Amino acid sequence: MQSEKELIEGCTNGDRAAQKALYERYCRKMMVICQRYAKSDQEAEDILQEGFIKVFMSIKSFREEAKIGTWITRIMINTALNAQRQKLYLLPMVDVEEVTIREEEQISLSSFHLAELIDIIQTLPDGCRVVFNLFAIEGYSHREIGEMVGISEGTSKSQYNRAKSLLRTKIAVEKNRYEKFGESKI
Amino acid sequence: MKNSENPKFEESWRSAFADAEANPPDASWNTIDMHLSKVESGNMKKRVVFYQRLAAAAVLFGLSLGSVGLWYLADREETISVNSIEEVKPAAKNSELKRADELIAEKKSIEQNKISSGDVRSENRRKLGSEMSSANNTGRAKENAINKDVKGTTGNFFQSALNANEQNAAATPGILTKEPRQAQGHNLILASNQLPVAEIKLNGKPVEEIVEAKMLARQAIVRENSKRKSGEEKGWWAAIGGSGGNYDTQPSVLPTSFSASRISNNSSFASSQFMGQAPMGNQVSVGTSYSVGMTIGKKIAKRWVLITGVNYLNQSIGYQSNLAVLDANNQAKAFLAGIADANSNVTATSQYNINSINEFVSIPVQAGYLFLDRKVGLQLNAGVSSDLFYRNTLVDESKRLLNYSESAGDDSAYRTLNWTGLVGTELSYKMSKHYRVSFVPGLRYSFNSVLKSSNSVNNPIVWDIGFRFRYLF
Repeated sequence: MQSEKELIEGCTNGDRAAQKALYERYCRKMMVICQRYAKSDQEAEDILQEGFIKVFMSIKSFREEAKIGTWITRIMINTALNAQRQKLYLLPMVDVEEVTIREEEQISLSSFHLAELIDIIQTLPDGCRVVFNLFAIEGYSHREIGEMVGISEGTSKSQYNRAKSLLRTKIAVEKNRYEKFGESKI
Repeated sequence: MKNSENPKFEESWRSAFADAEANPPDASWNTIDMHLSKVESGNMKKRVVFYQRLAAAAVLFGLSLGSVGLWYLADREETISVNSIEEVKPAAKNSELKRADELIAEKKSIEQNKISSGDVRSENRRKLGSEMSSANNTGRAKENAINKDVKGTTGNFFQSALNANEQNAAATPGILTKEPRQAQGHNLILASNQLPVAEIKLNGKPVEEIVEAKMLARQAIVRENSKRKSGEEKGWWAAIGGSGGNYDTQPSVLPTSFSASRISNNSSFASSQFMGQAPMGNQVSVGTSYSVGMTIGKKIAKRWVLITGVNYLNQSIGYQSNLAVLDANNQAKAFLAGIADANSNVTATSQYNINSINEFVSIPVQAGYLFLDRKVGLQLNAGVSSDLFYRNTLVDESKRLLNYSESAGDDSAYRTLNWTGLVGTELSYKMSKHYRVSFVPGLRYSFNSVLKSSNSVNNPIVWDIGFRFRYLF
């Protein structure tokens, strides 16, 4: 098994075997990221392919200041955002009504399958989904999200609150459904 | 604290996706691979164009340099001075020799006149004085100046020359007797032209000293010309050298005429997922070409050389393939539809990069025109090369498959004899009496496809830059 350094060198030299090995090492993790940002698995697959092509085309610029996994993740997120920007251009994000969520309303996701969580996220509107992913999972601030997506900080916050509210509702629905069928999920 | 800053909500989602993985569809990599191949093919074409332009620029630069060099040297030869012995180069022109001969002949004539003309000389001097007095003002001033200068430097030298001219005129009445006055005037001017009067005045050197210098120069010129003539008569040189460049096939995607029905479906080597796939033949890398060998040349005329030799020529280019061939021992070897023509068991496999290497023994025959043949030389070469095909080897770059080789012969898919046109410039530098190094940019254009089947790779072009190390006999 080749080391990451060897793989990067191989990819830099255009060695197809090294490119394939790097793809195989990271494709599964990146697929989940793409699924979180995409509306469907087909769209996620497109983002994954486009992202890896960008990775191989620009790997000469990788300076090893970050881990290769982090660098690839950043490229995947940027690719996903580019795909979403096209949609958001047509349907721009706007401030939405503030939703009040009580502090004590905590959720547990540990008993959900990954595919179920992805399905829930994919049901979110495009703007909410992007902001939710960037804030809740990637850990960006609303100001950074505003700069990345081209919206105001306030819009980012309101979109996130809406996403949060929708997610809680969906998780509650799922919980009730499982309880109804006698299979506790949450 | 706002709702959106509730850390427990984010943490629960973050932890849920911390090490999450999902399998992408199997076809994803193939799509990426195909796209990368297209991009690389585009980049390769850009690089090929770049190298072609570079080589063309080198040829143009060489020709421009030669033209400027010729113009400069021609101009310099016209203005070369014969005033000092240091400036008289061995490569002086025939006009210099002629002038030196004339001067020597004049001197001999003068010496003879000095000895034999006695009384005639004083009579001639009187006649000359008479002629001089009848000339116009301008002519008189000039002739007086000449006369004065002659008297002041060589005594009777000019007058003796004039005497001799007068005697010649008298001996050939058919030429000069019709208008004796004009004829004598003409002779006077001619005499002053034969001797560089202006130079004498400018330098203030005695004429005899200059004549002596010219005699020495003449001897040096004669000696050098003799040597050069001897060298030119031989004119042989031998060289070792090599060249390298890019190799451009047309088209960049091989025609996949290979029938899919020939692909075996019962091979233990191939996975069932590859069965029924179309044979591939995309060019994925810039072709490279290099040659090494020896060359001999002969100068057949002042500006023409004939060049021949023998070279080992290697041309390689990368393709994508998804086929392999199984030999008698059931070992899988690299295979490429459209290039190789194996009759044995061909099987489908996963996509891989393959390097196709053609080896030839090349015998070029070229004529070269010398634009410059001095310390720095420049020549334009053109000719043909008969390339004897030796072997094609298909190499799997990942080393997963064994190499597949095909040699020349009646059963081979490759032509044994191939013809190639050669054009190039040769910029050389003479390091010493026997050694010269050359820089040779040029191109090779194949007149025929190396494959016997006419619908495959056609007329590849090689742009290369070579180096020669010559020994001059």
